[in-house]
Amino acid sequence: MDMKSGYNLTPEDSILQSVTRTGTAFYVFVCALLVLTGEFLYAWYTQLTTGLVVTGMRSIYNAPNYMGPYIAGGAPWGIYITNFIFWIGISHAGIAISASVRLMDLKKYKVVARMAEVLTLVALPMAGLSIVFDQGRPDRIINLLIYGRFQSPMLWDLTAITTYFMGTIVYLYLSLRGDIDELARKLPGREWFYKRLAMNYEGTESEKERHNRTLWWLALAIVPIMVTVHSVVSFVFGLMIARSSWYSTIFAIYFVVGAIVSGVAAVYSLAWIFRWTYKWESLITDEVLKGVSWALRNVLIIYIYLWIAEELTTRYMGASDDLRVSNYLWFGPYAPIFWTMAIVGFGIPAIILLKPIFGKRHFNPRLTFAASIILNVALWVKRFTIVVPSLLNPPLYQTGVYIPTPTEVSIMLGTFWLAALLYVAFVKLFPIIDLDVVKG
Amino acid sequence: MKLTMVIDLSRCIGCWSCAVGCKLENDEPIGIWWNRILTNGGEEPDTPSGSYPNLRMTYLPINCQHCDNAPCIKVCPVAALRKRDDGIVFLDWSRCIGCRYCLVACPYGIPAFNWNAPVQSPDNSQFRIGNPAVPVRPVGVSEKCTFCFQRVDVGNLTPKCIEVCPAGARFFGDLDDPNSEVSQLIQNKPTVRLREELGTEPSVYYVPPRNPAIKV
Amino acid sequence: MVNKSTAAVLILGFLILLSGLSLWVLGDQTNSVVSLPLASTGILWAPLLWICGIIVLLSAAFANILRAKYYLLWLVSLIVGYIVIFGIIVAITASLIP
Repeated sequence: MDMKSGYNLTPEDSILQSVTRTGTAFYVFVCALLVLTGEFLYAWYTQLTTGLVVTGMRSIYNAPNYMGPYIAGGAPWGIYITNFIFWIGISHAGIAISASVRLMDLKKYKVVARMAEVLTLVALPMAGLSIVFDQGRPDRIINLLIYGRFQSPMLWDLTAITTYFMGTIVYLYLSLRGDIDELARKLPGREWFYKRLAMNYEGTESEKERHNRTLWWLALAIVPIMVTVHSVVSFVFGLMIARSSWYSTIFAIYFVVGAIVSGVAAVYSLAWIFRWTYKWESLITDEVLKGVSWALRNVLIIYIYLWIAEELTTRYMGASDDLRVSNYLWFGPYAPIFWTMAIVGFGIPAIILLKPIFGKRHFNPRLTFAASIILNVALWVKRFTIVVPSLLNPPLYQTGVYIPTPTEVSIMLGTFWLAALLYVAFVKLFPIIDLDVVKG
Repeated sequence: MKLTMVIDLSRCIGCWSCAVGCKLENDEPIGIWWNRILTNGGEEPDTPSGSYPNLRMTYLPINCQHCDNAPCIKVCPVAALRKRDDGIVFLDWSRCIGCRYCLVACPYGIPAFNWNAPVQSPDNSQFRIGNPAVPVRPVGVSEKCTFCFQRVDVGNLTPKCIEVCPAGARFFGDLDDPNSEVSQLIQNKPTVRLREELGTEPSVYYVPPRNPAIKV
Repeated sequence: MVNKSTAAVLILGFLILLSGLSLWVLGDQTNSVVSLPLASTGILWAPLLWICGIIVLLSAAFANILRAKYYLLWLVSLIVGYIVIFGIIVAITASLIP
């Protein structure tokens, strides 16, 4: 079992490369992540000891350290909340793929199912962490468990996200169990770890059948949980009668569809990266990538349709209060960001994704990868444009400005470094492609 | 008991005495004002609208409206905001986790947040300026007008802002008592409340200014 | 298809969830004037109770497959792990915030 040669590998060993082969590039990557994480930790330490004043956020009408009473306000929520919505969006990767594979019997996509589920497992804690960064008193978050009010959308968030996270852990463990047992045999050096984790897995046909049946029901149960998670996140905004640009019936569907776009784009990005790193063209075939990009294209079209509906409702009569916010976004200080996001961020991926309709040979995996990355960046900015301009246009007074500070950005980026570290830790422990894919 | 405030905009001269009195009574740190006076007129504060000689300006003092159907209470995840039996919407500073959802949900933009560790001016370390019954709030919690609960609780139905207003523009009392000043004012004058269309049922009523062209 | 232990776990989980929510509602002081309860301080720790109910419900998948001792190991790990995460965040941040 020659792991180093890279040639003449059995399909199974080819998959296990990701666990066993660790090159220089990997170590450089991890070192870079650790350095960046150190910087993030220092930034968070600064925020904890000084207070949220280190961010660019401010109260609606007041500004600190300024003696005068006449101050335009700021935004009490900024990139931390944007980041939270973004990570919840990414977390829709896992179940979108797993549900398709199990419930609709699309075995072709099983090869990308596990990397999607791990993404969900990593994304949900990052969302929770973003919220912890945003709290004025994170040392009191236990109050959520003691005094939490279920009438508050934030408690719906806590409950739904916890449910989704626990469901994903259960799902991932059960689908991983067979592979853990396999690894106990293939990697004798780590047998003590895998044997314990496998928890007396027997590997009989009947046991595998039970796993598959249970996983089928679990996947079915997790689908409504997934829809609930992003719907309750949208309700944090959509139920606010005080903020006319948020107070919209469409918000739940809007956010859920946006999350599916984020999730599927992230899965495509990951699939392409793994394929490129480990030369898995025979496993993650062009057909698989094309299928994922097809799904991405379809949900993107639905998302753009919902977006157009929102904009039209806001602007048509020219009289509604949310027109003020829309004008601020379209023509105010954030206009360059908004239009770049719309034209470059959504336009270019839309063109790339729509092109293959006009001729099967035009599917370009690399270009679609670029589209998936651009799309997720654009979606991050899109959520920013939903959260911040509305807060900068309060009902009774003129607007202020919100510019995130470097400390704030460092802390926000910390979620990305941590997510990467957690993800590569998983990659080095367990196969990122389900070994069932190459077995019969 | 239903504590209500009435502010007579035809008397308000925009002197900020109520805001400053409130700030002293409650030890509000630098940058935080529970009571603010907005200018209904030109673009800048204290400027009128229109062009000379047709200038119009009026003032709008605004503090927590202590709504009956308060959005802030609805959204607070830890029930730090609670409605008392006397109508006061009270923010429990010992429980607040600083999520700022109340800042986001309030249609009037009232709650203020302690972005940094509070700094009082003049410095509070030698002796407290404010009422000792009001705790000093730590960093990371929200705060807002309490209808001077510390005075109400000892039977004094006169918050600081009502006490210090030199123009006699502010009134406070129990709306359930038909003989109280506020009941009489609401009965006899054409009072309005801010953003009534949102259904928040605020407890602060405004007597409109004399010039009918100015909208509250 | 569903064996007895799985069914038992599902019912137990559902009951815990329901009791958590009910305890919250019972401790609530409903203001009859408006539609949603305004002032509310439900029974303490009710949210943790209903979250535990959800975790038990989801662990039914494990109950269907794992042996009793491994199932209990997982269940306890998930619930304790969840609380410990909160505890760690509270402990670290409490030591740093002035």
